[in-house]
Amino acid sequence: MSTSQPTEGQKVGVTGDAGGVAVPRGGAPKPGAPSGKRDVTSWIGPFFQRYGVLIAFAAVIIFFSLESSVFLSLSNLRAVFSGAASLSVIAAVLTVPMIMGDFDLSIGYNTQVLGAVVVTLMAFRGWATGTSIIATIGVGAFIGLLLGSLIAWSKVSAFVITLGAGILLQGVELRITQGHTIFQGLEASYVKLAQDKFLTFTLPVWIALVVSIFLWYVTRHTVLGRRMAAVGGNQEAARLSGINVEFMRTAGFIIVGIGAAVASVIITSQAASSYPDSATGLLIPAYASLFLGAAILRPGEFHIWGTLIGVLFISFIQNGLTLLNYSSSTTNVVEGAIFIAAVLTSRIGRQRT
Amino acid sequence: MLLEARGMNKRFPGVVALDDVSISVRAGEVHGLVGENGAGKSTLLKIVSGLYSPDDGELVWNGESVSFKGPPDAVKLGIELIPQELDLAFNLSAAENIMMGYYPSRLGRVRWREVNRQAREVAASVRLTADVRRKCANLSPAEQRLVMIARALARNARLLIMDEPTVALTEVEVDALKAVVRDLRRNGVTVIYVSHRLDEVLELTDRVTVMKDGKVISTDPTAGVSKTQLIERIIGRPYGEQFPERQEPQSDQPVLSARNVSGGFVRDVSFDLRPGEILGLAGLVGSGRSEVVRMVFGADLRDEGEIEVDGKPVRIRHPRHAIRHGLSLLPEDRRGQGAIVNMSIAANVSLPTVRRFAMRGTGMIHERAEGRAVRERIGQFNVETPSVRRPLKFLSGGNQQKALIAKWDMSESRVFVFDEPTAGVDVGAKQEIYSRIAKLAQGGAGVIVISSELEEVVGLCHRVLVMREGRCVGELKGDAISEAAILELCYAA
Repeated sequence: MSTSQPTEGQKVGVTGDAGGVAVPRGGAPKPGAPSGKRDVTSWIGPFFQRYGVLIAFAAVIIFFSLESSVFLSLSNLRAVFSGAASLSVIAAVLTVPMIMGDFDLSIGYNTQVLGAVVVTLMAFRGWATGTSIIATIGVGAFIGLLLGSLIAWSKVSAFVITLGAGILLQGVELRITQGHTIFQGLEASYVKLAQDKFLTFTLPVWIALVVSIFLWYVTRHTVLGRRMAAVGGNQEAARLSGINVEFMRTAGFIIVGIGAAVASVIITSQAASSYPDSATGLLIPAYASLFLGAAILRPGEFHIWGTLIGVLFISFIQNGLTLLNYSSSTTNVVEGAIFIAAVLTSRIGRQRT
Repeated sequence: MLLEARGMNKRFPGVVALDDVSISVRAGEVHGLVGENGAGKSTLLKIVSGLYSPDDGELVWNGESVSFKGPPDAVKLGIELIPQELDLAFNLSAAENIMMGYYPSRLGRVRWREVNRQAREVAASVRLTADVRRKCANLSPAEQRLVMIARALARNARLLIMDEPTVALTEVEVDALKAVVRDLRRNGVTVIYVSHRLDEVLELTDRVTVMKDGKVISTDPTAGVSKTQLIERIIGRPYGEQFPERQEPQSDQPVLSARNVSGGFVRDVSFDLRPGEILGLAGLVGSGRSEVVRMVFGADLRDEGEIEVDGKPVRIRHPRHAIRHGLSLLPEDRRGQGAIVNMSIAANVSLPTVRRFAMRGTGMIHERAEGRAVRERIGQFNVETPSVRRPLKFLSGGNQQKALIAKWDMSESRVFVFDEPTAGVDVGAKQEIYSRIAKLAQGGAGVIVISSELEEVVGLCHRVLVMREGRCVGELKGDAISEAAILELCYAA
């Protein structure tokens, strides 16, 4: 076998296989796109790369709307959007450190702790709704600051540190709640947050939308976003261009902390309580959304709109299967399979990493 | 003829990379291939080594028509490409890389002693003296390149294609590599030698082919062409003076002073830089010249030493402090430290200066103004691109380098440090870079140029500091600057 590998652009170099069958090479949209009878692969590859997930999304929507008459009804859409609000916020904020290459595996526990904090403040300390929410956002930002600076200055991978931090935060949450569901003593105004409607949708939906628009704007059109993208692209080049890399990475985690606080408020007010494991399960669907999103429009890049579409994709599948009375075990299997299939589709013909 | 390519055409969306190209390589010769960045050399080489297939055209190997489905087919015939960016398994030993895919084994167990023995044999044939059990990552760039050549020879290469083999090598290492190429020819291995360094090409090759704009301009016996002829064919126009005229620095008040800079193996380096002056830092790779400027710029921490800007001491602990004080550094390693290849050209170029296009307070970037400024700036370097919003990786290596020079050019700094500004850049582009450097100095900036190409240091600089083993060992001024004088200081014991 050859080990002689080409330079830039053909890193994966699928240029032939053991069976001696010609594997179409250079299907990616770059110089190298073959001509003649290979023309088909030259546009199909890039097309699926950009739109594969969107096509799968559309197919899912069409399928469910044919199978279930209520799927596209306004009341169902309201329910899906309200249900997706907390996941949207979390997935959107996680996109920010991800642009810089940092994972945050503690997000679920972090949100869980913050939910316990906000509810405890109101239920046991008698704080007002607004004050409690602001305080919780402060705590979230502070946790992000601690985590982020630890990661940025220690230069240990975020993956590892947040894994440890997750376990730690889980302990903190148990200490606060003793594993109980807390629902007494919540003010009606807090519960109303999740129920109040504005232009047919509940408040959490609008909050998620505002968070997403804000983050999209920051990451795409501001100096801060530019610098974050530079850190994600090449840390050393960013540093030599005068960017404070440690500060940028810390800022990413502060944004996650604030987002976790916002999501925890949405979750606890929707449930009118803080209950065990209300947020811990968000980790996997959140990252699934991120990766689905990275397979859309700008392949290989994490971006807020992609993430948001990923969240909706996952939420609609879940909702559709529930409407068709599938058990949650089926839902998981189907969801996982569709996720893998969608990401694979978007990688057809893709040879760059 | 060992290899003939006839009537090769290759189109990419929007470009004709090869336009009816024919080239023949004789068995046993060293065949030079030269041309500007983007002239089509790489495309041709990729076709010959099986990475691309041509739109039409015929490839003839030893009199037989062949077509490749992929590099393995080419390797089977003995065609080996050694790309500019080495593709070694850096975490494996030299021996493992050399013997890769051909490990002698017994009962499924690799006989490492035998691997090392055979690797050592091949390594010796390319004058690689390093211990073959060492990890490739720990070898010097020159040794890594030798490992690549050894690997090709271990697979019985008959045609070796070397793409820019001497980039990032020191003078001594280049000489060693030349000797290896001569050995190869003596042993009957045919070589296609691609380089922007025309002196090397003239010295090493038997015949030389010039490409321009996807066409072959000429193929001649090397003995019959002069360097100027070659350059004029490459750039397609008469070649004027390579280096711009030097003008005297305007003031004696230094814009930048370094006092007793020490750190790592660098000891006590001091220098003054005047506005309008081009100061050369010469020395072998590893003499500490890059390390000194990196410490001045705050890219590496120094143990001791003061930096003064305009006679006032300044605190520089991070590149951002240096930039704030009007310093710029074009780093040596474009891929590792300069280019952010997945980011757009505009974002790369405006990175240090992006605040200028942003609304105060919100940090909102006025993208149209930014795009205009970037387009104008890279236009001065003749970087052509359909849009500045395309990722930087779509530019050729030389154009990336020019874009990165434009990036610092745009910062309107008062001190510019260029570490190997013309690495991997073709002759035409070199001239543009030189004239830009001269213009920056004329505009009153202080410029420091580090280069392994002595010709460049001699042609550009008002003053040259020579470094050896982390110390400054000499200073040359005006007419005293010559390649011989610099080399003497580099090697003097």
